[in-house]
Amino acid sequence: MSNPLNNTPCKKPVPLFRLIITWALMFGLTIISMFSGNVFESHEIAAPIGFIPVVILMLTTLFKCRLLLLDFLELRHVAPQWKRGFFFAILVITGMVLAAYALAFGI
Amino acid sequence: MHPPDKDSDFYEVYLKEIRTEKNEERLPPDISRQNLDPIQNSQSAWGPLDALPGNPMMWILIISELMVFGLLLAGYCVKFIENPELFTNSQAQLNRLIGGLNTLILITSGLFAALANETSKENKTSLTRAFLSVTAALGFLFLALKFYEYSEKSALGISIETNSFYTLFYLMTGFHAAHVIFGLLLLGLVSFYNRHENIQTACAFWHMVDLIWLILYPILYLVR
Repeated sequence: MSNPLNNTPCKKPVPLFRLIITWALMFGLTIISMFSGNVFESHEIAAPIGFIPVVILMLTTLFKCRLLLLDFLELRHVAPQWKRGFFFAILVITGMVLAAYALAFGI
Repeated sequence: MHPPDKDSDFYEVYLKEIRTEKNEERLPPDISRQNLDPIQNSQSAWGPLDALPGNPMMWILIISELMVFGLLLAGYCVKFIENPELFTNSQAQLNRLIGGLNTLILITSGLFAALANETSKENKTSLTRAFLSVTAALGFLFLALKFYEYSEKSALGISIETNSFYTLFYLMTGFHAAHVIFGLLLLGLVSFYNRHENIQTACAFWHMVDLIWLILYPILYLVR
């Protein structure tokens, strides 16, 4: 019986436009993250940004990492178990940060 | 003898050689077909890692790095829960804009690394080298901004020993910067030894560095 993780990686070139769209999406999501984190405020802000902006930050991080894994690291055509495994690892990290934030500020 | 990597130029030759050998042995076609396909063969050289693009050793490194940074971030979360005010006040002194610019720089360098990987599949050597050069130039720009950020903090009297936030900040960003330097060395190396497998492996390492920063930036600079 063959191993379900053992499939053939796709050797077809990734279309150029897909790479550029991936880059544009990641670029846009980073700008959203920067706005959510009040990066463009001129003065130093020590006040907490709140739970919802932190959720937005973690969601944009998850989505950016997913795009990078699928298109830049070429995992789009490998066995789904690999994709799920890497995505789960990122999900654990972002979930951990959200839980820590909720605990620290008593949300 | 270990089979060559599936993405290497020698893999097709390797498969043909095996087929020829097996035909000479005149095995029944159903049996020979089973043995000829190393992908279907459960005793492949790297097991499930064979399914991943590039050198499997690089994937072992990528998984290890994710675990190391995951554990460092777990430590960061624990200290954050213990003293959120200290972390929030310390983080306010970071230059969030430089952190954001560095994220955009690494994402763009990732695009050029992916383009280099694509052109190397078609043996366009000069174009591949050009893309690798742009990737490396953006990597140097990332390091220059990181150096500026560190010197800015140093001028304010902030160091790794200032408090637990800065200990973890310098540990994680410094370790990441060391990976950027190693990635630049790898990019330089594969621009000379430019077989597709080498370029794919170096680019995978570069994307891993990119992936780690995508996680570090919002957590260290923005979540407060």
